[in-house]
Amino acid sequence: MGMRLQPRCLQLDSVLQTVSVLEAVIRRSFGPDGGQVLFTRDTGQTLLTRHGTRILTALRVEHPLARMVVECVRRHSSVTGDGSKTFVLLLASLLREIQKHTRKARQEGAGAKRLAEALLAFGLDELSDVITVAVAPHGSSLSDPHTPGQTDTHTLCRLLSAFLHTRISPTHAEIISQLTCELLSHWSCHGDFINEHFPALHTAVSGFPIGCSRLLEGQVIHADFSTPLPLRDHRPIRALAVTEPLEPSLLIDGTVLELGGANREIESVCVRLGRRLDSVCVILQHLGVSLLLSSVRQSEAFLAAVGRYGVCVLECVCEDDLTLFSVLKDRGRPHSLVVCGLTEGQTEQSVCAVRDALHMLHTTWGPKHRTRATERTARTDVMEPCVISVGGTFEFLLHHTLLQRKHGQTHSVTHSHTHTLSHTDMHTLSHTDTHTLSHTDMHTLSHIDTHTPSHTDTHTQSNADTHTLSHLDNPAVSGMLAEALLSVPRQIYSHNPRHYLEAHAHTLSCMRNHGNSTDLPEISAVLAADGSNMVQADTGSGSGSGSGVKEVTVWSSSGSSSGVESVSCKYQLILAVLQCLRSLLSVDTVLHANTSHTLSHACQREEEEGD
Amino acid sequence: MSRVTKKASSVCTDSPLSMSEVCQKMTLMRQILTSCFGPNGRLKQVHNNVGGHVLTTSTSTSLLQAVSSSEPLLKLITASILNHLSRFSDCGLYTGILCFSLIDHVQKSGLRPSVAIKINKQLLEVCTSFLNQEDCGCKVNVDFNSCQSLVTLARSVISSKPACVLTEGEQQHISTLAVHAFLLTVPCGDTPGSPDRVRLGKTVTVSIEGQFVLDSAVFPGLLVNVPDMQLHPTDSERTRRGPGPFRLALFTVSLSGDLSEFGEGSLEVHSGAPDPEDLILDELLKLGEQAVTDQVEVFMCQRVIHPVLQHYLRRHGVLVVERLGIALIEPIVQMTGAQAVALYQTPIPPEAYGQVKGCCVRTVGSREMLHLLPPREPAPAVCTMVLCHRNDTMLNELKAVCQRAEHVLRLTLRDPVALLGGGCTETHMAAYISNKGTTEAAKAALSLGVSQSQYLLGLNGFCSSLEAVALALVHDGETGLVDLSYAHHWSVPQGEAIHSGTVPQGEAIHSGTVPQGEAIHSGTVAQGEAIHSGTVAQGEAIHSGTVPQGEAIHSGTVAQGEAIHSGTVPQGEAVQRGDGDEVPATCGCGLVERSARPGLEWTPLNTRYPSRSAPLVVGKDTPPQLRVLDSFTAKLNALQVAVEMANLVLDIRYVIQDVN
Repeated sequence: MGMRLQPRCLQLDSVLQTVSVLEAVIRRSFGPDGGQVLFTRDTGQTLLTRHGTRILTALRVEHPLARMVVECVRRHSSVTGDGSKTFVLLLASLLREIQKHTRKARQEGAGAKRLAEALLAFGLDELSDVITVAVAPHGSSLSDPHTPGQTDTHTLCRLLSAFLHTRISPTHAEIISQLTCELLSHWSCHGDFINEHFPALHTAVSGFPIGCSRLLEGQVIHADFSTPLPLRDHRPIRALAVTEPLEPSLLIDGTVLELGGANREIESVCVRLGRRLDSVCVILQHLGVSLLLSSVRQSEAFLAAVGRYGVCVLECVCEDDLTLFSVLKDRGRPHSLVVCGLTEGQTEQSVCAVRDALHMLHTTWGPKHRTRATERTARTDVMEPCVISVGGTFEFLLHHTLLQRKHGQTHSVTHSHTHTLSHTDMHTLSHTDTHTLSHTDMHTLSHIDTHTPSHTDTHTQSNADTHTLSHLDNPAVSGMLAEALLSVPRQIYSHNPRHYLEAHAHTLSCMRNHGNSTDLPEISAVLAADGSNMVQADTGSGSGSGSGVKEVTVWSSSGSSSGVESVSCKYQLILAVLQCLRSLLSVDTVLHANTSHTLSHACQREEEEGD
Repeated sequence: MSRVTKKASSVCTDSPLSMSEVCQKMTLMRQILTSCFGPNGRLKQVHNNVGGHVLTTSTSTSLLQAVSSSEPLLKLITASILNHLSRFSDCGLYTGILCFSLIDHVQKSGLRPSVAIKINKQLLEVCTSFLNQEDCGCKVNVDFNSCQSLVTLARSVISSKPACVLTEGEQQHISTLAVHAFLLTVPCGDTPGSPDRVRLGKTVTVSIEGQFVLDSAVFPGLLVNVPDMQLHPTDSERTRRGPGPFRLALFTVSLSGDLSEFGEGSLEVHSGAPDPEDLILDELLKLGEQAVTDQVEVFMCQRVIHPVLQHYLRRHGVLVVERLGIALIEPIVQMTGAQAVALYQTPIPPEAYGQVKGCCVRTVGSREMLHLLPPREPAPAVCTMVLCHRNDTMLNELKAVCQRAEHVLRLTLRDPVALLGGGCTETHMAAYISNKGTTEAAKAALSLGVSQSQYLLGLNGFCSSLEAVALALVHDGETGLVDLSYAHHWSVPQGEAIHSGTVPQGEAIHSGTVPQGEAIHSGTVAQGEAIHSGTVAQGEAIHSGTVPQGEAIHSGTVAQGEAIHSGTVPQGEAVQRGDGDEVPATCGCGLVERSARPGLEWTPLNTRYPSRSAPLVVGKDTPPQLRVLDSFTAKLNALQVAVEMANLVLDIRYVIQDVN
């Protein structure tokens, strides 16, 4: 009763349609030309974002498959803090490849699900090796070549700057990334500490332009003085943190005070009360305390009493501040970040971006980092914290390597060139295809299914049988992945296809040079700030660094150095997309049940976590 | 079990700026803000659909708080203006007009948003560095040795709020009071203990309805509202007594003797034990006794004082004031140096006493108030401003305006500079940017990675937006002109303009079509330059410049004799050499006087004259009396906020509205 079966044959098309709609939304804020998304909460709050996960959750899609995708994106981005927009692009493009392939080879029985499983198996077993061999040598290490174990600050800044460019307005990314770099350098630690204490380390101020953001020395405590600080000479100030009221109320609710008899009159009680306050003050004075940080509200009498002893009090100091304050004493000179913005929405966007940037750094740094989702793979530990230039370099390199695997080592460069060109044409086709999916489609889509899904086989990870699948004799798999990867740079250069070709050609030529030379130049296909491509490879200047990796600095025309992105984040992204793809395609039917309390509860919870 | 509610999907809007509905709303908002701007701005009455209070205002804070839009883009802009106002209290309308104007110009120019954003950002940097230059032509130093510039600054704020309904004399009076109050709150000499930090005092505002504005006054010290019955005969006697200083005790704890002060629990009293309330009263009386022995002469409490204690104190000649309210406690502490006592069970510590020099009863309007005089001269930074006005609405507006003025004056302590008002800063800056941008277009375009024509288009929009702000000052059909030497703003009254016949010329060029026909009709087309001075004695010099095709200059048919037009060239120059009566004696801010600088030439605002040399800086050796000054700090921030906001709005590609 109350169930409706959807025809199975529509499965792949409908999945693709759903994902394409999400892709169409995401595309507005993707890449160097992407813009902001303004969204209002149900509370009426107006917020800004370029964060893929936030955009997707704000949509509140109803289609069960779309929700599944949103959930996958959310989970991926909560692990790495990065790549949520690329996730959707890649997913849509992989689905298109699968669709193409199944149409072409219907008689061979290459089902979409089987292909997805083969892709995942390939990703889990071989992708890591491919990346390590083919892509990583073209990148540069994040650790300082001169002092191993230390982070190279310059590369770090480029990494941060590139990340923030994808998340806040490009005109503001510069200043925020600069401040974040300074913050990291002041703390001179691997970001974990800042990551952990970030809520207490930043202050958002609205009403000023973003340019007024700055780094303040010291810790900012987010509370007002209840009794102001008496101005003294520049002596060190002793502070005491308290977590409970120092003058308890005389009569707590539910207690009875008995009056009568000796020493039990109300006056003596009052006198005792006064004496007790005085003794607290004397103790404070004895300890030399002149600043009291209290996490709770103190009584008025107490405030007045300590005020007389020259102690100033901050009440209702938040937990994060107090925790940071208590661990700070053995850590040099702290610095905290003041983020300004015109509105609350803007400051929140910047704060959110910095938080995710720290998260992303954490992922990049941590070679031992394992997540539940990638437990079986566990191949990330072979990868050094390695970064590579932005602008599609990673995708181009991987694309090419995968194609070479497909066609064997005799693959010629000229061949790949023609290959690329033909694909560009195809791209324009698919591009217009998705463009027609405007938000009206989204609307219709969201109304197809008005009930929560009764069952979706969502999070089953690759199980044993995928492993046994013989994917090696299926060159289609790496070919499909290779083609799909190109959708990312295509979107980056979408406003000027010529730049796309230039960047691709450039990367290829660098790759060829790399094969011949002993040097390992860092390849960059960099998009300059203006959108005009400043593809340059430094082959002449020979400031070889210790590790033998020649640092190539490409200066974009605006004078800022080009950005880099983390290879391990990219790898994890591809894996997450492949997993999501597999789970999407293993669903064959959506059943609509009328009553499903337990499940809708679970969904509700997930959604709340997602917010 | 919690209720499971289904969430509806969000409503999405793709590229909101291209939707006519959004654009209409933005245009409406822009019109509202523009029409409120300046001293001649129009008032707005805001009332909601269920009746109730009608708000009459033209100030941005009240207006934007009262008018809320469901459109997310407008919400964003409104919120950013209000945030700016909460920090700087001034230039809210300016921010809004500039922001909307920038958005409008970018949309009209057809530039890609990402390109326009880059150009705007770069031009903003040019503007801020220009304003921060030492020799910036639209900046004047605030001289603290004379009140002149401070009063001008205050009057500019006050006169730009027409909802206060003040005459010129009243404006001057209120401005003087605002400066007086401000000066009283700046402490003199070194603050003990911290030579590098100054704590500003407080101005307490008392508003009285139904009196003349000119009755408003500023008093050093505090005026405390005391109900009639509290001013006991003995108190009046006390107030008459000779000069102080008097000792003052201040309590924040309630001295009513109620047991409820103790907490939420219950009391159990054994039979035969004395009544706790009596015991508490005894405590209170002990306190009173101590006050009397310590020669306290003024006894004040934030809350209620037990009548018995009041009576006791009065009998001993102590002036008793209760129910002060929390707002007055801090000013009293600051003025008298007393420490507020929050416990009555222990004796009053001697250091908690404060001092007043004296107190007297002042009749302010219909009210009798107790005036506490500050203990020392110079007064330590607390004063009271009594504001009077005829009715409640105007009074509220006046009160808000005086607070703005105080804030603006305080901002000068940080940056002792002010900007020229009356639209002159905007026109001057536009001319500077236009000149600098045009000469350095190639370089700037290259560094931004845009084409030179894109850059010039963006530059043009930016300058027009700045001039649009100056133009927004004009409401009564005047024509806004800008002079070609100093690029200051001049507004020509409507009536005279028609009379003299030169302004239709300007308007014609503004709209661009009508005289063209006439010009062709006249037939006196000359190759190259044709200059004609007709029958008018002064002679209008016609300046046609570099137009290659030739100029159609028409003289015969128009009675006034002059109709100048360069028809075929879109960037026609309409320059008038003004010694006609139509141009006022000074520019908008009053810095440039026509009589002192002969040979000035004018052109209507927002016409596209070809690039010209950088505007001259008026020498400030003998500055004439400036009429209007604007806060430097507030306007600088407003400029940044407006440009950033415009950039932000242009950058928004998608709107997602949660409808749950």
